[in-house]
Amino acid sequence: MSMLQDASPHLSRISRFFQTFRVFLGETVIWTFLIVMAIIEFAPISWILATSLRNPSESFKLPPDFWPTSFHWQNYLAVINSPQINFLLFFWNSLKIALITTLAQLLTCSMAAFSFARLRYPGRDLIFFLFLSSLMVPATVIMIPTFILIRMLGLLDSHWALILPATTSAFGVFLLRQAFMGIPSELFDAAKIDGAGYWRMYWQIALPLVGPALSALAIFTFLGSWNNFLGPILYLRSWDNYTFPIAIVMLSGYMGTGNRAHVLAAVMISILPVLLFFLMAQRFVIRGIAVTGLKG
Amino acid sequence: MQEIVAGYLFIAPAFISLFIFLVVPILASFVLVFMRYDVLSPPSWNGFENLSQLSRDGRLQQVYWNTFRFVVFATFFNNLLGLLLAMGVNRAMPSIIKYLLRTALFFPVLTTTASLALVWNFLLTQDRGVVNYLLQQVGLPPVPWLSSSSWAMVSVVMFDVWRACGFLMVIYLAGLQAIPEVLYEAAAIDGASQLQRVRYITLPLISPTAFFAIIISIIGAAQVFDNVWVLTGGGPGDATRLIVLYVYEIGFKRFEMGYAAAVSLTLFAILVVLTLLQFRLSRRWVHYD
Amino acid sequence: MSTRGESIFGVAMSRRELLRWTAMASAGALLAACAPGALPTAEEPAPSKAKVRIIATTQMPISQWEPAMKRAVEQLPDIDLMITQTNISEGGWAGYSDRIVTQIAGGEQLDVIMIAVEGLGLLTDKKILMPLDDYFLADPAEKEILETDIHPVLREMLQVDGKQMEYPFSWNNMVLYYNTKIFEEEGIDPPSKDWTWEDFLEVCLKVARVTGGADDRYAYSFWGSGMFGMAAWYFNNDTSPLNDSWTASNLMDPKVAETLQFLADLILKYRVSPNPQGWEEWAQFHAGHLVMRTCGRWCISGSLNEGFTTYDLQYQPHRSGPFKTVVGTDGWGISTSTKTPDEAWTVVKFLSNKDASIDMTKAGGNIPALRSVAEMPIFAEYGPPNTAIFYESLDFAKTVPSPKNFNIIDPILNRHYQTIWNGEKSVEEALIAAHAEVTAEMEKLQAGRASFASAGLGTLAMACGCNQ
Repeated sequence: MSMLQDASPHLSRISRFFQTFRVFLGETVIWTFLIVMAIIEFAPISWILATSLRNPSESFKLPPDFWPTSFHWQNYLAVINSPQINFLLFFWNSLKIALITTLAQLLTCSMAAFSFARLRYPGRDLIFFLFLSSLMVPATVIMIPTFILIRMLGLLDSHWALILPATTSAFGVFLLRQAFMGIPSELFDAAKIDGAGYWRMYWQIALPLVGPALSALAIFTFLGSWNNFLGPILYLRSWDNYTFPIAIVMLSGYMGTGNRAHVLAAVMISILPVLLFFLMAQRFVIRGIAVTGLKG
Repeated sequence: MQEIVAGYLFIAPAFISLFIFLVVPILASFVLVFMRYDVLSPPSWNGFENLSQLSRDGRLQQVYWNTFRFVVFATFFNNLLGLLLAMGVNRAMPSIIKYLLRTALFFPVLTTTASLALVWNFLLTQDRGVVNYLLQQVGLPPVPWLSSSSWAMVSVVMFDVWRACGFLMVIYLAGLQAIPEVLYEAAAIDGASQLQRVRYITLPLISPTAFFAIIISIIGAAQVFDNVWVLTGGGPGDATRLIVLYVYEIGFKRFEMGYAAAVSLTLFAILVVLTLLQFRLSRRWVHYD
Repeated sequence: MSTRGESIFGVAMSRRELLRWTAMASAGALLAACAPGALPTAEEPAPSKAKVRIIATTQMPISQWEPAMKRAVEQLPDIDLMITQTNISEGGWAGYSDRIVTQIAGGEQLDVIMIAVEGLGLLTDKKILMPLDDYFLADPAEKEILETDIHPVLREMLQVDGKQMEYPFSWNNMVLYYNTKIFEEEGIDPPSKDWTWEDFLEVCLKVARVTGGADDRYAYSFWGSGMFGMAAWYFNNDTSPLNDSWTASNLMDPKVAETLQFLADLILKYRVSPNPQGWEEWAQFHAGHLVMRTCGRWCISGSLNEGFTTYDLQYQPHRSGPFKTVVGTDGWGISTSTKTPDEAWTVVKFLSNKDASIDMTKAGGNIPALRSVAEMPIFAEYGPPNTAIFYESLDFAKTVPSPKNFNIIDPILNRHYQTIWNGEKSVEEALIAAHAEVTAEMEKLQAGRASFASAGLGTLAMACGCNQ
């Protein structure tokens, strides 16, 4: 007995040492993982930046740079003034489409979500189920008939061909419904007693309370539209209507005449606005998703 | 009564949009399957020709096999890395570091896929490409990233994971932050190790998020187009031709709209079965509260 | 809903509300900004002098046409000319003609179309181009130009069933570009006109320096795809991927295999050529990491832009059969969907004239179809010393294989070439697979023609009519 009692402090010191060591090891592994991943994720981006600032004739030179070693900012001017693309116009087209789509989705999704979450009427759950199941239909499946539909509507080669099919999303409805469900119903009861109509309940009470969820939906929608590539390829034809992602691919040139430094400068330009937005709104976006609690 | 009217009015905009641009096209594709339609001349009845062509199309099998591998690997690695990154970032650390880490990891998500694919094309060129140069500097042999059939698929998956795992990270991060801190504190008092805490608290409580994330990833991966269009063009040979690219080519390069619709419908059928299966299986591993 | 008014216009409008309404208002403004151009409204109000709008589309960089558009304002007072560039870097002529077809199918206005011989078959087959013969008959001056100033090879290339479908504008062949500075440094004589594949390989082995380091230098690179690029090699070995009427596969010809094997060996055996996937010929050539390449005249434009001058041209090396150069021509044609064919013809003439031709020559683009322009000093000025071989090669020109289903055949070939270049399939295996696919498509084309004929021209007219 006494032997055991004597040994225990000794043993616990060893085990504590092992525990500290394990924690230390764990920390090292986790941090190495995080740093390596951050480098892998970021290195190509910093390569883009560095190469976009190289003299165009040196953009193929090896070894590659991962931070700017020269400052040939003329590449950026060359993109903006490129005769191959109409930079400002394409940029504006992309921005316009993304903004309209985002605003439309925020409105239609939040209205529908409010209705699903807060109002009671026959057929509600059935319709909601329909919305949910549409989440499972990839756009690919309906690519061909949608193209024919857009053509029948006479919307080919117009930005409406990209905006109209994206005016709502089942994902957004689902996301916001969760958020509206989280609002205490006492708030609405109180409003009802005050004689508020449904529109006012939605607009004045419900919407302001789901700001984070709205912002999360806004950034997803914006990104989706901003990055859309297949849509413009399918629907847009004329020069004046092209969007930015197409412009970047076009810059790579007629039969490969492109200039790598210029292409990369264009890529940098396309990244910047979104980056600035994310740097400012990062916390908000993440909280937005967290608050809505994608808990299924 | 008023509530009923208001209810319908509120869903009307979303419903109409969904009906026109989702329900109508789905119904239309069931008709289109029986048509021969080259966009220029009016459609004509084609019977079951398009459907029987499905079984004769040797390339379709290859395309499905590609898509299957792509979906499985992209979903697996995106979710695995997304979860690990979220757990890593969701630790106590100086807020500036957290901020930088999150931004670096989320960055590729923000950027146009097509232009990033273009960039990776530059990086992965076999001869005089950046990545191969770096490999050769440390004494490794150059890799035919985009030009060999087996490596091209690896590259396409790698690119997708590189681009999208940050997105999954944010979703998992949201799930992690919803787990009450109290649970971990209680577990710590009971002497649970870090791994045990992950095993018995994090994983079960994150399972609804994971379920959602996996479904989103599968649907997203089944729809990948820009990656392969820019990165490999579906090649070499058919090695990275995924289903969307194939449907696009049948429809808009060969102008066989009916057959393209038929191929799309097979994808639809597969995804429906897969999703139902998921819901069924999810009862075993997803824990709601 | 009735309470909405008060809260909006009530006195106590909160800041948040103000912001929200500003957001809504700007959304409205955006919608309005988008609407007029984008929504398909009825007829646009005609400009004061009732100008006819003519839309012409081309694959050439739009900047090249800016002078022409400026001249059009003065010289074509009745026409509101708009030139668009239909091109999304992918797919060459196959991708371009695909897009034209979808554009027409979409009911979009397209009056004048530039297309090369590779896409001419498809567009004619789909009845998208109308014959120009009547216009030439009514316009003796233009007929004179067509018959005297344009080489018969170019003129006849753009005829289908004896009808002139396009006004030839520019053309290209494929010649070998080489870096003269590196040739001098390595003590290699400039290649002669009659050099052979063996001579070429010898040069390749001498100039290549591939170790995986930063200064790697490849001897030669080629597209590795594209009918035009590959024909440059096939024709010098007296063979072609298709038969002479472009209606059947010729891939089983042992000379096709021999040609592909030679090229594959450059990549896989001798390692003097890079794998074409993702390889950027232009930049590598200008940076001195590539010594030789095969290209048409349009590659001069890149060298002009880069200020790269130490290069010259020679014919492709030769193996067997008569001496031949691959040639492809493009030109302007009139779309059957135009509502104003007469004005479209005016534009076709205008865009094919000397001034437009000179603009293109200066941009370092293709070779002008007008001999009078090709013989101007300006043609030689914009190019290396041996530029003359571009025009003189017409005398032994052979048209690039351009079947009616070029947009389908070309991608099939490219897919199978890729599996040769990466060494996964032997030349024989790849050719057997490609032959089967090409043959199937060619049979489909014949079958389609038969049913097409039986459907009769009435349906055709209907088809064209309902798309407008």
